[in-house]
Amino acid sequence: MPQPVVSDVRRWSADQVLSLAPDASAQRAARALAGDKAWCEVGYSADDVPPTVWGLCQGSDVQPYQTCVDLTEPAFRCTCPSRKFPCKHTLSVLLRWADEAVAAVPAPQWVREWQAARAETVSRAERQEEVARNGGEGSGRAASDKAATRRATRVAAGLAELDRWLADQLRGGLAGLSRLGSAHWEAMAARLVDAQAPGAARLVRNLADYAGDPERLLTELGLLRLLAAGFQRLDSLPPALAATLRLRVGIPVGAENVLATEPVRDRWQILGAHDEPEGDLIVRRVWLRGATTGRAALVLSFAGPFQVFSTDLVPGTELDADLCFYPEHVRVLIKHRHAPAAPLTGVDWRLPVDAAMREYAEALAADPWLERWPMVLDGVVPVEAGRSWSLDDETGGLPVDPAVGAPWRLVAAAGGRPLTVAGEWSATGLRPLSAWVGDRLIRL
Amino acid sequence: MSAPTWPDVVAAALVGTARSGADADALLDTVAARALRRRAGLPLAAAGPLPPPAPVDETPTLGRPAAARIADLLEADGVRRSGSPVRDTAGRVEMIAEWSAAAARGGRRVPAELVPAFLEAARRHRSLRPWVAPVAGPLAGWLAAQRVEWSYISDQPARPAAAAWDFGTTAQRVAYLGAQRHRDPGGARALLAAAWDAEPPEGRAALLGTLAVNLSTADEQLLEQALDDRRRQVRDVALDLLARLPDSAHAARMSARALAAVDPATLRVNPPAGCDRAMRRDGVAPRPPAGTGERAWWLEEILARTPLPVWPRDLLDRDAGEWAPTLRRGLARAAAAQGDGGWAAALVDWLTAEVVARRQPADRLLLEALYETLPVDDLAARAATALRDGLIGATDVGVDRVLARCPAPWPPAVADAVFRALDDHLARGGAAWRVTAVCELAALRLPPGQAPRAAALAQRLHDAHPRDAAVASVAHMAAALTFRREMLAELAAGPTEETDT
Repeated sequence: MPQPVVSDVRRWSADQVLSLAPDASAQRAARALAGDKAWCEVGYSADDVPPTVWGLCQGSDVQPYQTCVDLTEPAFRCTCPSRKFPCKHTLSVLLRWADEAVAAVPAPQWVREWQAARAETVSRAERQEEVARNGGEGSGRAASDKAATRRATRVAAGLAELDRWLADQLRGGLAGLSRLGSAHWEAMAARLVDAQAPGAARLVRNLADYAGDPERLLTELGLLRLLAAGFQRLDSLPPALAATLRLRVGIPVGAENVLATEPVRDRWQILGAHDEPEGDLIVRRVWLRGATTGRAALVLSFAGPFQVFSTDLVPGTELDADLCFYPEHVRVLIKHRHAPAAPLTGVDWRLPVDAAMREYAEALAADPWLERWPMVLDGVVPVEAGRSWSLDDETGGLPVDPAVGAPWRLVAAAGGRPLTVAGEWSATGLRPLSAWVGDRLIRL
Repeated sequence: MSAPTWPDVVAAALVGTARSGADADALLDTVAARALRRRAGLPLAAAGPLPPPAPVDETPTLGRPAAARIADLLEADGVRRSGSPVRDTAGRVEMIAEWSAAAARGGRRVPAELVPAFLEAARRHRSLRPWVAPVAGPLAGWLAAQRVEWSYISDQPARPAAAAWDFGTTAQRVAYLGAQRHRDPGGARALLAAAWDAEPPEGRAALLGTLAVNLSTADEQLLEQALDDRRRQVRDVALDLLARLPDSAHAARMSARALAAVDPATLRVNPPAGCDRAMRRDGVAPRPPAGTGERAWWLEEILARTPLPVWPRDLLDRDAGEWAPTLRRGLARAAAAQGDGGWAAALVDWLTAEVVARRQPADRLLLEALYETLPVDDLAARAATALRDGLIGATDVGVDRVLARCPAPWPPAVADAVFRALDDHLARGGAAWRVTAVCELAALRLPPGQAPRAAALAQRLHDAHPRDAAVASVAHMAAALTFRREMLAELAAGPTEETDT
C-alpha cells in the first residue's frame, strides 16, 4: 500500500492533546508524566512510516511500556495494562511532542512492525470499501433485493396505519391529547418498530415530551403527517427528497453506500460537540463546517455505559479530509484524511443572525424533519430578555435554548462585547457550544 | 379564500375534527405547511438594548496549564474523585485560596469564562470572597450586577425586605434582624424588644442570638430580661452574650462572688457554701458532674463567668494549695469563653499536663478551646513541642487542633517536627488512624516545596510496610503537595505556552 506522504505535520497544541483524554484524572496523570524521568526514549519518525510519535516508558512492569501514536488518524497503541483509552502514556508522549521535546529520529523496529500491521488492516478496509462502491460482491445481491422489497411493503403498511392514527388524534381535539400519558404514544411507536420504521417510531415516542405544549405537539403531528403522506407517493418525489424521507422513516443506509457517494474534500473546521443520553447510549454530535464550501456536517458517534468515545474530532481544530454525506445532506462519514487535524484560530464560515436564519430555512426546505443545525454567528452579544437569553446583533436576535440555562460562561467571555459563537440550533433555540475571543476558543 | 393563519389552525385542532366536521388529513397538511413556515421564518426578536460592556481588563492572561488547573478546581462542589489529590470540598476551597493568593501576587486573573464559576464558589464559601476582586477583576462586578445571587461582592449586604420581619419564617426573620443589626444596632434591638413578649419561645433564642453582631452595653437590659426567661435555651444565649460584656451588671455580680471566694492578694480560697437563686439565674449550674465536690464546682462555675481583668496577672504564680486545680480550671474556662489569649497561654501548659495525666474528656475539650484562643504566634512552637514527644502523645493533646490554626505555610520547625513524628511513629508500626488527621492537614498546609520529602517518606513506607493503612494517608499527602507545587510553578511560569499556537 502506498504510504501517505505527509511531509510537515502541524504540531498539536497541548489543549488538543489533553482533549483526547477520557477524564480529568488522565489529563493530570499525563501532565505529571510528561516531564518525568520514566521516559527512557522518545522520538518522532516520519521517514519511512506515517508520522508517528513513540516512546518507551518505565512503568511498574519490568519491560518498559511501548507507546506509539500515528498522527494521521490518530491511532494509538500502548502496551500498558490501563483500561483508559488513550492511556496516560499515550497522552504524555503527545504532550512532550506538543512541547517540542521530541527529536526526529528513524523509527525503531517495534514502531515499524506496528505500522506495517496497521497498514495491512487499513488496506483491507479500503478493499472492502472498494467492493461496496461497486455494488457489493454479486452473490448476495439478489437476496438482499428481495429482503428490501419485503421491508418496503411492511414500512408502507406501517406508515399507512400511522396516517390513519394521526387523523384519529385530531378527532377529539388537542386539549384531550395533552392529558394522555406516554403509554398512549408508546403503543403506536411500538407498532412502527414492528413495521421496521424506527425513525418514525422515535418521532412518535418523542410526542410524549410535548404534553404541556399543544402548539409544539401540533407541529410534530403535522410533520409526522408529512412523513406518512410523503411516503405513500415516494416515487413522485424528487430523488434527493425521497432519499431524505426514507432515511427519516428509518430505512437504514449502509455505511458502504454512504462511502460510495462522491466525497467532498475541504478543510473541515470543527465547531463544537455535544453529548446527549439516548436510552442506554450516549450520543455525541460533532458539528463541522467546510472552510471553502461552507457546508454543514455532523459526525455522530455512540458510546455505551462505561465506554469512552473513540472520536478524535476536537473542537477548535480543522481537518483536511474527504467526507461522504448521508442522503439528508448533514450527517457524514469520514472517508479519508489528507492530514492530521491542525489547530484552528478562527472559523471562516460566519454569518450574521438574519443570514444564519435564512440558511437554516433553506436547510429546512430540503429536509423538513431536520432537528438540529449548526450555526456560526459572527459578532453577537448575549442579552438577557426577561427570563430568557438571546444572542443579538444589529440584524436581530436568536433565543438561547432554555434547556441550557443562563449561559453565564458565554456572558462572561463576551463581557458585553460581540464575539463569534458556534452552536446547535433546534426548535427550542440555540445551544451555544463554542465561542471565540480573538483566536482563543472557549468550549461552553 | 385566504390561507388560514397559525392561530386559526391551532384553534381548529383544539376543537377537534369530530366537532367541527373538518377533514383531519387536510387539517394536518395545513398544520405541516404552517408549522414549517413558522419554524423557518421565526421572527428575529428585535435586538434589545445592549448592556454596557464590561470594563476592559488589561491584566495578562494565564498560561494554559494554570487555566486548566483552576477550571478543574472550580468544578462543582460535592464531586468526590477517588485518587484525586483534592480530597474534599474543604481542601478544594483551601487550594483555590492558595491558587488565588499566588495569582494575585503575580498580578494574574482567572480567564473571563471562569469568573462565573469563581463567583459561584465564593458565594458558597465565604473564605474565598476576599479573592474575588483581585483574581476575578472588574468583570466580577459587572457580572454581579446582573445576578442577585452574586450581589454579595458589593460591601453592603443586600437589604432584606421589611416584610420578612412581619411575615417571614423564623429563619427569614433572623436574617432580617441580623442585617439590621449590621446597619443600625439600636434600631434592631428596639425591634426585638418591641416584639419580645409576643414572640413564641422557639424564636426568642434564635432572634436574641443576632445581638452578637455589634454587641454593646446598650444591649444589657434586654439580655438581663432574657435571663428570667422560662426557656433554658434563651437563658443560655443571654449568658453567652453577657459574658462578652465585661462592664455589665452581670459581670459585676460575678466579680463580687469570685472576689468573695478567692482573695487575689493572699490566694486564700473560701468557696461558696451554697448555690442560691441569684447564682442560678446568673448561670451557675447547681449540680456538679460526677467526681467533683459541690463547693469546688460552684467555685469553678463562678470563676468561669467572672471577667478575667479582676485578677492580677501574677495570680498563677502563687500557691493555692488544694484549690489550685479548681481555680485553674475555672480560669481556663473563662479564658476560653472570653477569648483571652494571655490567660490561655498562661494556663495551657498546666492543662496539657492535666490531660496527659488524668485523661478526662472534659479537660481535652477545654484544652482544644484554649488552643482556639492562643495567640497565633505561639502555635507553631507549641505544635513543634507537642510533636517532639511522638505522635501518640501529640494526638492525645489534640495537636491537630493546634496545627489546624497554625498559619500556612508551616515554618520549617513545624514541617521538620511533623515529618520526624510521622517517620518515627510509622517506623515503629504505630496505629494508622493517628496519622490520618495530621496528614490531611499537612497536605494543605506544608510548604509545597516539601513534596519530594513527602514522596520519599511515602516510598520508604511503601517499601517497608506495603499493607499498612497509613501508607495511603502519607501517599495522599505527597500527591497533594506535588499537586500544589505544580500549581504554583505553572502560575509562576506565566503564559509562555501561548506562543506555539
